[in-house]
Amino acid sequence: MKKLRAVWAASAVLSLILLAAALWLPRLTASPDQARNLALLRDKAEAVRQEFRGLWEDLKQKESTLAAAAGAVKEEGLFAALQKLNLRREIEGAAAFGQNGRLKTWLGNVLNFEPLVQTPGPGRTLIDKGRPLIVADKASFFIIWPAKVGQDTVLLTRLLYFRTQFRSPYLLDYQFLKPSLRSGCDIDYWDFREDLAGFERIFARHKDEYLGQPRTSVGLPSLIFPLRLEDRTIAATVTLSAPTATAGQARAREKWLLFFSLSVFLSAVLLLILLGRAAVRDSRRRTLTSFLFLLVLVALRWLFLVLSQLGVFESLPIFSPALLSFRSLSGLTRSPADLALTAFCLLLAAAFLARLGRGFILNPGKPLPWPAAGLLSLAASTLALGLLLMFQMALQATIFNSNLSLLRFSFSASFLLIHLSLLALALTLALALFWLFRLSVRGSPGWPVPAVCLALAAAILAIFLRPFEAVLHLALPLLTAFLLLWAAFQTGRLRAGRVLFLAAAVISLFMAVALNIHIGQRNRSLVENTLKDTILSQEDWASFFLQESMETINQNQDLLLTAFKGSQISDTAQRLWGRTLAARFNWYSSLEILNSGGETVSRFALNVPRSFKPSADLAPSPEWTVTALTVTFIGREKEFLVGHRDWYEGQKLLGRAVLSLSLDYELLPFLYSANPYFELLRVHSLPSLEQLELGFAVFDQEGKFLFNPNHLAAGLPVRSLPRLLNERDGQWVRWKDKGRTISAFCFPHRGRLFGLFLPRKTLINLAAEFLKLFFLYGLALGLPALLGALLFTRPRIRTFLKSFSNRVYASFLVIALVPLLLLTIFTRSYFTRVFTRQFTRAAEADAAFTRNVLQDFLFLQQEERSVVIPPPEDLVLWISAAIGNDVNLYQDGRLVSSSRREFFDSGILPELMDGELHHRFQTESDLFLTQRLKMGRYAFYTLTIPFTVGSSKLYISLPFPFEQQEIAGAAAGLIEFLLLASAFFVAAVAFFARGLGSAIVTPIRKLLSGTREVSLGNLEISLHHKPDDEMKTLFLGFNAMVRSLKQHQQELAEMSQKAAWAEMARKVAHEVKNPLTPIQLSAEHLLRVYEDGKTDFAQALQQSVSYITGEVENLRKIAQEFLEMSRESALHREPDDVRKVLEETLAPYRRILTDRITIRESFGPEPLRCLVDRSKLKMALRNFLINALEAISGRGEIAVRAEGRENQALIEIQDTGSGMAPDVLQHIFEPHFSTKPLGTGLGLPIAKKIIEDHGGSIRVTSEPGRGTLVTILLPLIEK
Amino acid sequence: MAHIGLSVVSLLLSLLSAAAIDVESSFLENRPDLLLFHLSSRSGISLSLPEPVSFSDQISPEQSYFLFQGILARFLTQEFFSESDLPAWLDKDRLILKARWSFRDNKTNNQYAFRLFILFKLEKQPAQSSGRSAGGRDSTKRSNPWKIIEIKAEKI
Repeated sequence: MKKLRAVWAASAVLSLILLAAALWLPRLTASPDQARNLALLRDKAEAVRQEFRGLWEDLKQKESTLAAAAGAVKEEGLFAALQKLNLRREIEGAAAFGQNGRLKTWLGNVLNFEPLVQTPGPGRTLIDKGRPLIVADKASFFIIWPAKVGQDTVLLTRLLYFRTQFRSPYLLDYQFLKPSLRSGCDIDYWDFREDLAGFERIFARHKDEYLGQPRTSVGLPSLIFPLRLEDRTIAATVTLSAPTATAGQARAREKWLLFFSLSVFLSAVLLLILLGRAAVRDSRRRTLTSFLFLLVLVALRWLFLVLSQLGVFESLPIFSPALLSFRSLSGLTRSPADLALTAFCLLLAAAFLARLGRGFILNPGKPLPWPAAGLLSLAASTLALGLLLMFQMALQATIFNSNLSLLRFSFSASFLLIHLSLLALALTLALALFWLFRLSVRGSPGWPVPAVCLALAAAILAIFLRPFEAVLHLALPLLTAFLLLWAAFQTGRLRAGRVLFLAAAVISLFMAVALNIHIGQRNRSLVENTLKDTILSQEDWASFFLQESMETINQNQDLLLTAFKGSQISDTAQRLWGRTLAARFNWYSSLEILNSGGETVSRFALNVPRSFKPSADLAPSPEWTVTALTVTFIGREKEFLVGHRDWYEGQKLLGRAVLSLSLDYELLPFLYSANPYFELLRVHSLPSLEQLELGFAVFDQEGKFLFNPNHLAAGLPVRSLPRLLNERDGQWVRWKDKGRTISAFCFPHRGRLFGLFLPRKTLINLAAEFLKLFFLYGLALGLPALLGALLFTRPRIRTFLKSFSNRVYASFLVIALVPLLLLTIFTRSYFTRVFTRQFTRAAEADAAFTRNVLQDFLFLQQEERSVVIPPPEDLVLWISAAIGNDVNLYQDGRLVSSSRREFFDSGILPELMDGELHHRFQTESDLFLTQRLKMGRYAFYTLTIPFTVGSSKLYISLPFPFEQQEIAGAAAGLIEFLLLASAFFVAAVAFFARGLGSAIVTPIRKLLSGTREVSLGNLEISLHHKPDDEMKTLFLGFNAMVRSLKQHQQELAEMSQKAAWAEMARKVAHEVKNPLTPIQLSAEHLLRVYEDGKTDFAQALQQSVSYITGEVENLRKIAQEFLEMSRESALHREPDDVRKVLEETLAPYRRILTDRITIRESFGPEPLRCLVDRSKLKMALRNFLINALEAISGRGEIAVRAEGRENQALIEIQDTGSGMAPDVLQHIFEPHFSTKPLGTGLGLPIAKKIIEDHGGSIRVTSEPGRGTLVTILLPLIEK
Repeated sequence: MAHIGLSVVSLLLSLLSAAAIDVESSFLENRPDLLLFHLSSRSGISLSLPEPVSFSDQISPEQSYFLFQGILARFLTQEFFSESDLPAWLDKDRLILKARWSFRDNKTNNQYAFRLFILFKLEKQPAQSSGRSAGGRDSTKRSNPWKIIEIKAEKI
């Protein structure tokens, strides 16, 4: 305790020091010293230069490696040499060119350098001279290092920078610098074709270090410097800006505040422990310490609230309000972590208060008159139901304000924290309910009063809180289940362990039901409101984006006018489109620029088919005009909002711009398209809905599918159509599809019916959810309990672990679980392979179809003309629409056509196919190859199949999705079924193990228990074992041993008694013999004097009588000494708490007898201080306990109660043993009276004498067959 | 009859104007409670905010409140103004307002600007009880039927 206090004091002092540091140090360390900041900037500039230099030195190293490798693998070819470079293929590459400048082979991230290598010019010259270059290509900048390998040139590449015009959460920008250098560092790269003479002059004047002026008066200067290649040409210019003093101060302060908060947290926890202990142990200052404990707990919770707002914590997902947050007192539930902390603090406070009020809760209390008892019960019942209601409201708020589906299990920290919070709240509620339940039965004359009051309270709440009636439907069964469990425990029908197990099961069941109800309500609300709004607003957004984009085109009409005149037209549409709002949100759209003759001069489209050319149908319009169009592509209707405007010069038409925005359903953010290229550019996603397994379909007015991404077979039931078409707000409808019931929310819009459907749960789903919750809560309760037991009751745990029976059970479970675990792993792996094959087969079939179409096309061309042209993009688009998958077509490794040309034009995808794939198709005869690709954060697969046309080799590449999401989606149901089957399997094994284990372990336990009882002195025990096996022999042997022991004890007692008598007789004889001799001699002397008559008889008589009297006195003294010796030793009484004496006396019995006899203790809250001799009192109590124990032949119970009663300590020991008849009862305190064959009859007389020596009294009541009650009263010390 | 229709439209437009002012105030005065008040109690809100906020999902009004509380605590608003004029006539129950929001990251001192696109929806029956009350609501605000159901943003 003293050590703890010292640690607390130290941590409190440390907290103060850290607080001072947080207030003062940042100001001192982050002073706006310009010279210091400039030095820091120069250091950073040098670090950037070093890193850049490292790049080309690495390339130089690779050149040497390549030269060595080329010699070593001459026979295997150049590709093998490239492989030896061990390239990081996402950012490094190597491309080998022949003497004719033709690309031969390549590996990794490379550009198609053929134009550079084949065309004479500065690039060709630099490459010939073997000098490094910086090359810009669409979205990337590369550094190129030319290397000669024999007659060939290998260009080694290293990516410096990547940033596409498309923005999406999946696409990541790349910068070669390490993250620590990126902050405050802007780099502009310069292609080798740029004229950099101006930069050269500036940097020559400023010695490669230009100081930019600060933008504000408190700002700091920036440092601009060039990054140069080995030949001193400028590769990039870098602008470094220093963080401002305030930002530096804020960061430093946050760091110190973090340390301060952690230190305060430590001292608060220590203070809680100290106060908690004091409150429990010191009754005089309990009120104050309890108040302080609760105050510190509140302060600790508040501290966490502050702590969670520090940047370091704020960025953690567990502190994200997007995962869970709802309004409560002071934002205590603003994130999953905050909810967990609040719930744990509540649980701690409840546990602390329950510990303090333990005595009050457990004692039955004095009986009250029934009106008072009724009022008390009614208040307690109302409060209990109110608490249940509050819990339900918290549960509802948690579900409605969380983006996690609490029944879709995951290992995310937030998910676990939310469930642990709910469990902590449920335990707090259970504690409060238990307390209130005890309060309601306290003082009640019987069960009817609390029961009636509970029903009354439920009725009152149901009437006044009608909206929460449903809550009561859940709460009342829960309450009833807990009452039944408590009753079963009180009456001894269920043991504590089983009650806890069943309580965990009841809580899990309750939570599973409550979660299902609330999640169902939430999902329905989500569908009926949020998702419906999302669908309805799609057109609004399209219209808005179109208006904004048209305005942008107006502002940039110079570009258009130039295009109309026919100059710089090739990418005008792309450049203009890139500036529109539609482009910034990656909206499926197209911009077409037409000349005065109506010919398209420039066009750019994002996922809009090239065949979509609405211009012909649009009337001339000098202002922007918006038209809604529905076009059919390959049997599928697509809707567009089209804006067009004609430009005139006077009366002369210059040209037209047509901007079209698609109203494609795939753009809806809640749909997962399973199309890699589409998902890659998705700007607005709703990740929380991925867990919802939501279905979506669009129907025409006859109930037929217009859009059916979930591949339903049956359309809407015809009989429901009129009702659905007339209900604007939408309605729920059910129908059967492929044997399963679909429940969909349908609403009409734009002359169609939109349907959103939620999965319906089967019984297996519900059972699996319950089991998962049960396991989770079991683990959450079991692990801390095990940890607590390990920390606080080590010897018992050691015994538990060493227990033979537990090892038997554990062996059975391990034998069962290991194969199950292996089965689960292999099953998952097996199904992953199965699904992979399924996905690949589908892609292979699509690729084969594509190949056939293309081959037919090329064959027809060969028939008609001599020169074969590659398949046009329109054909590829048609194939793509037909198979519902994107298609890329490569010729000799270079892209020819694609259904998503924009991906290649914008530099997201390379125009060269993967070098290794190309090499394998060149050298091996694979029919197809699959490959995993990763773009930023998005991973997908491609399947490539080759076919030959003339001397060219064509490759068809199909991207298809196959990642964890697809596997999880496909395997979820299967895994759930397996889990359920596994749970049954484990339960069956556990049951079997228990049954089999019982056959072995139970007899051993009986023997162990018998041995322990014998060690306590119970020789009346006799064990029984029915089966006629080896165990029976052992039992008979044990019983014979006990009988023999009893006999020997009797003989020993008799012999000891005889020996004691003999010894006593010898001592008495010896002591008595000594005085007898002088008496005899005196008597003889007197007789002789009398017979002689010579001497003075009177004198002789006087002398002899004096001798005899003296010796008789000696004899009396000897007798007194023997008497003293036979008496018990005197009592050594000291003030002590009788409850503690009882606890110490009971401890060994409680440990040993748990299997056969339950010992229940019920001690009052106040100490029972008496003047007692601990050892003597324990001896007396032990005598009563042994008698009670011997009176119980099988299972039974011994109840020990102790409490204060009118200046006396009342102790009651009650057993459920055989009891005594009145004629036996009246003799039990007589010495040597015993009903037991081997009893000495001294135990109870001695015990009675000890109690009486303590100034107390004893009373025994008994009834044959009902048991015995011993009542002891001891005087309390007066206060 | 036409007179009544005009009055209703005028009232709705003035309420929309009040809602736009509240949104502006919530950013300028760092008061997410003003924003919460204009979120629908029946529907979740879809948010799509690019870097440095980086958030895209649908969340409940209460989650939005805490999310914006965190955003406004970290990113100090430097300017916020509406870039689109309020409509002169109502032909739909949905409207998108455009606003420019410039802010400074308290952590890094970097400055950013977003263009916000806020989709308002005219809710037929304003919710009388939205579960929990937000501080500072008055009766006029409680009856405002214009609710934000979606916010998109682009970095400029």
